[in-house]
Amino acid sequence: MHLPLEMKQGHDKLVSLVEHYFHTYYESLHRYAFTILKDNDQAKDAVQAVFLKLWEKRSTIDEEQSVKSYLYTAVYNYCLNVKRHDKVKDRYAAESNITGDDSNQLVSKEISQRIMSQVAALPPQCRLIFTKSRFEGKKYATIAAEMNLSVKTVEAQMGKALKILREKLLDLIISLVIFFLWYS
Amino acid sequence: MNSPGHIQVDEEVLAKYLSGEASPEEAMAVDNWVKADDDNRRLFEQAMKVWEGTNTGSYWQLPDPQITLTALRTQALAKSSGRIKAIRWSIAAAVLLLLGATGLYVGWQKKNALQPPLALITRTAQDITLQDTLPDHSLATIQPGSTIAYTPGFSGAAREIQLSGNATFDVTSNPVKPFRVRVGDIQVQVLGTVFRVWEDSQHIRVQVNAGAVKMYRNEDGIVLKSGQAGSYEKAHHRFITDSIPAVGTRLPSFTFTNASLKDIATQLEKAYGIHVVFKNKKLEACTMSSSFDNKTKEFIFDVISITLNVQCRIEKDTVYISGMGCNE
Repeated sequence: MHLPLEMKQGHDKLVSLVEHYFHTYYESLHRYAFTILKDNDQAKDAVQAVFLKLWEKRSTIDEEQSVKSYLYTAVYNYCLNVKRHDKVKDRYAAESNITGDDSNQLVSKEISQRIMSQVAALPPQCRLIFTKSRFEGKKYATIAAEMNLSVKTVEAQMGKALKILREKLLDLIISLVIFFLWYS
Repeated sequence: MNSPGHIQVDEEVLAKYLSGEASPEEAMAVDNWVKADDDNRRLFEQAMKVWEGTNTGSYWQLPDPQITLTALRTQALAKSSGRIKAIRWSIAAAVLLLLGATGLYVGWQKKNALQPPLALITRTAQDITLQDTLPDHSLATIQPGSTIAYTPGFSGAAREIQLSGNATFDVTSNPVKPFRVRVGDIQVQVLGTVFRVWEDSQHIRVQVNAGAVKMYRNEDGIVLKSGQAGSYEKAHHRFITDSIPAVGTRLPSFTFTNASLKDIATQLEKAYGIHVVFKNKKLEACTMSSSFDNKTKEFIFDVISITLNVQCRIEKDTVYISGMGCNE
């Protein structure tokens, strides 16, 4: 006669476990999905779909590390699937035309302009790779093929670009944020 | 903290991550690295800024986790029960109320002199999360093993809920009829929007992320505003406002697309527990598009002033908007 109660308690525990994972990994997973999809709504859908699956198979979740790996891998696969269907690109392009540039316009235009001038000052190969990646939205593999380089070289050059830009722009970003908070 | 597979996180891996090229293992390594150290987190945020500065599309903005979780629960419920309830959401007024142990509810029932009305509606979530639309169209999401009770049609001067266990309330605004949750021997009254309540053996704690709440017992109590936390010592029946504002409190996020200034004001009123007064009613029809993430109300009203060419004057909890008209 104890079994039903124990089963109920076990069930409750599993539901709260899923919610625990949700609170722990929601932000990280959403950001990860966003880096791939470049779309906040699509990224949210991806994370939601992955958690819904986890919810359905909650009776098999136990060990935290394996759940974490499962979540990241499932988000990754889900996002690649979405991209493969090319839905994102169309939607992304459509949205950019309508409202994309309105978001946080005050800060972004100012910072963008200054960052652009810093991008122009990057070493030639570094600049070309960064431009293809950031402004033309090309994948590392595509850039490597176009420039007859290894993917590893593209990775290294992108890292170099980030390092240079981050250091140069650090002061600028801080001063601009303060400027807008105090003088706007 | 060890990174999975001992991936060394440097700018190369960060650039890969931000470019959407990171494998799940690399993404995990980046997230572990960010969490491991404040310096790492700062470096990461700077890298994100560089990426945002060179972007041509949207920025990363985290959607409200509570809204996503509620949607998720609804989906899970629909899947498991095969039915979908039509639910009205009032997103901006989402009130998060999480309560810990259940033991005190029994204690409250014994101590409290208030007689429950005859026809009390009781909702208990058994095995799965239960969604219940309250008489005022507020939404209660009741966790398994938890119970709420209220009067039909919320008869009476206030909207009163008795709670045992965990529940999330998504509350519609109605200033003349306060929304109160009774727990233990105290009450939590909604004055604004997002707050959290939890209890342990000695305390009941409330932390307010946006808006304001009042926690009280009989005549004694405290009002907590955005960024504040307070606690109640059960043994001494004493309320304490934490002197240091809670750190790491995120301010709310908004995305307005061609929204009228009236709608924007309504959302900001809920989120920040403020009152917006239009000195020129014509200004309500002005529209703007913008998004704000983790910004103070002062910042947001500054942006509104510039964008719409209006004057916003903040006096305590009231914002006066004046001006001739808006830029079209």
